[in-house]
Amino acid sequence: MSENKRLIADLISIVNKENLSADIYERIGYGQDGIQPDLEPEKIPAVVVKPTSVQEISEVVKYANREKIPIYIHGAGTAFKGSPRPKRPGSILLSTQGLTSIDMHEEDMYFEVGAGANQYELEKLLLSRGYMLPMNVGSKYSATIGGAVAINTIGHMVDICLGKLIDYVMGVEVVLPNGEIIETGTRSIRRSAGIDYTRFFAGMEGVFGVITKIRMRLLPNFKKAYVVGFFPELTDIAHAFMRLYKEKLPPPLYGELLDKKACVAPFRLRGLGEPKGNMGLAITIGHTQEDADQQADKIAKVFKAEKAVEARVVTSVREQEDYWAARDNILNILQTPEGEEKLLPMGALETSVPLSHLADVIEYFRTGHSYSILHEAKLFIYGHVGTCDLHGLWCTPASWPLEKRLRCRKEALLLENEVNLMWGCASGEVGQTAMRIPFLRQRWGEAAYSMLMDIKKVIDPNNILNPGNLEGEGYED
Amino acid sequence: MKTDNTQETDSIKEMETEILNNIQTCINCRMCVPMCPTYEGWITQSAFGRLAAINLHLKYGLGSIEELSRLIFSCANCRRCQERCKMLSTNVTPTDTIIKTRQLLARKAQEWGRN
Repeated sequence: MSENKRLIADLISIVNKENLSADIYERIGYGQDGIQPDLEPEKIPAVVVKPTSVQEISEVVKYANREKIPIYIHGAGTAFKGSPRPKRPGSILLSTQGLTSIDMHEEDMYFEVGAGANQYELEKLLLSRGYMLPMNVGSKYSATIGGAVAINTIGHMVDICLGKLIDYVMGVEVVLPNGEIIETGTRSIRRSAGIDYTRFFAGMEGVFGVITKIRMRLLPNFKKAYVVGFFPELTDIAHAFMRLYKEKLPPPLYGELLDKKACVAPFRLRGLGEPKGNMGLAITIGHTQEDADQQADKIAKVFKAEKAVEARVVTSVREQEDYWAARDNILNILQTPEGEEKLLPMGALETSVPLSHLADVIEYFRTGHSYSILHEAKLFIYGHVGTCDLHGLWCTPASWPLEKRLRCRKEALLLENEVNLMWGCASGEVGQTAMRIPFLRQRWGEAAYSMLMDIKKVIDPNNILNPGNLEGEGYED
Repeated sequence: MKTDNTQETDSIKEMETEILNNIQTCINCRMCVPMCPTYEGWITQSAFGRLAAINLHLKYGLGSIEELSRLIFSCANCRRCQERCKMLSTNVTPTDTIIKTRQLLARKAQEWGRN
């Protein structure tokens, strides 16, 4: 019996046959992550398994640990800094999408959710009960809650408004690399003081264990108000948010920025007409509508004071949805009119910067750096200015040779490193492993990195969970 | 002067190029996965999975043409993915690409029949 056939036979004895696939096309689909280039054929996983219980996951992990087979843990595989991509041949791709239970415990103000539950479906359920999900990532229609907890992201929201996702995670159920199942945290809204094992897993990108279930605090929904402003200069928006915090106004739930170029396609798609400038958008929250509206009025005044050519509270629900969708569905910016050449998003930069340097960083993206291919590519700037998280997206024509396009991606990554190092920050949205490992080592130093690798060795001595991610394999040069 | 067979091969190559160029603009966001009416939990039951399969089959010859054909013809042609991709993503027209691949496979079968 070949090695692969034996692997599959062994795994079928653990998970139902229906929850396993060795089909080449399934393996390609699951193995490909959210970025180009294509997954290398030799890295295509040997098998995809989708266990439906924590016990099955435990058995799969025990087996892999015994046989020293790499496991790549997948929610939906949408992360775009290389972490979901298999890096070693012959791997098991372990999808958590079979874990979708949701148990509400409203009397104790929490819910428990399987790691594979879809974020959008979860959000819909919570909203129907009068709660909100304290996160919003661009890929929520496909992404899982387990993936978000594994990188501790709240996506577009403003950290200082509601906190980071980990602030809502009361505990997790985890399968350790040796297959043991543990539970962390508490069932009380009073969180542990001191040691809380949850922090070994939430935000650790699946290198210490497989998160299978999450206990999260229920957060009653708020009333919202929307403010939109159009500014002559992109840096005016940065100044507006710097002023908003200087004046000690409550942080909005969302504080967004979209340069004029980036507004064009999403506005056209939604019939919003020609953008009147660079767009700033804020969504405030309050326990009452009056409270949210008052905050929105104040932000509109700040926008006007910072040179907005137009700034107003948006009251029409249709308009609120359209402006929000124009920013939220950012991939729309890549849509070109009929007959124009398609653009490919090759250099995606995400950097969180100090409040006082927001405007400087925008200028640095545009003109301050010396990366030649980035200067040749088309730059869109957008991001979560309210949480000081900015994105630069350098797009190339599809006709550029692959090598040049990949160079563009590399330059954007180098620029991201440079900005984060220069201003002493880190990315705040999409994880720190895989292609960001060179930055991680530079930013926090070799002593900290060695500590991380030593801990990994102790917890996962056979390095079976997401191997290559902490090493930055494939992203060395 | 080109013979019929050479023209056929050129046309197949052109179709392949068109399909691959279009797939290249997909950024693998998977927005088209959960809403596909044929999706029952496996990625190839969605537009993204079908495009990923077509991509590596045409580039590296991975997988059998019969299995690829089964995937491509299992698409319901409802165009929900196409609408979703337009509103939420980069508008790669996945349904059109799948239909184009059906035409490609039919053309290839025709050529094999002739040879």
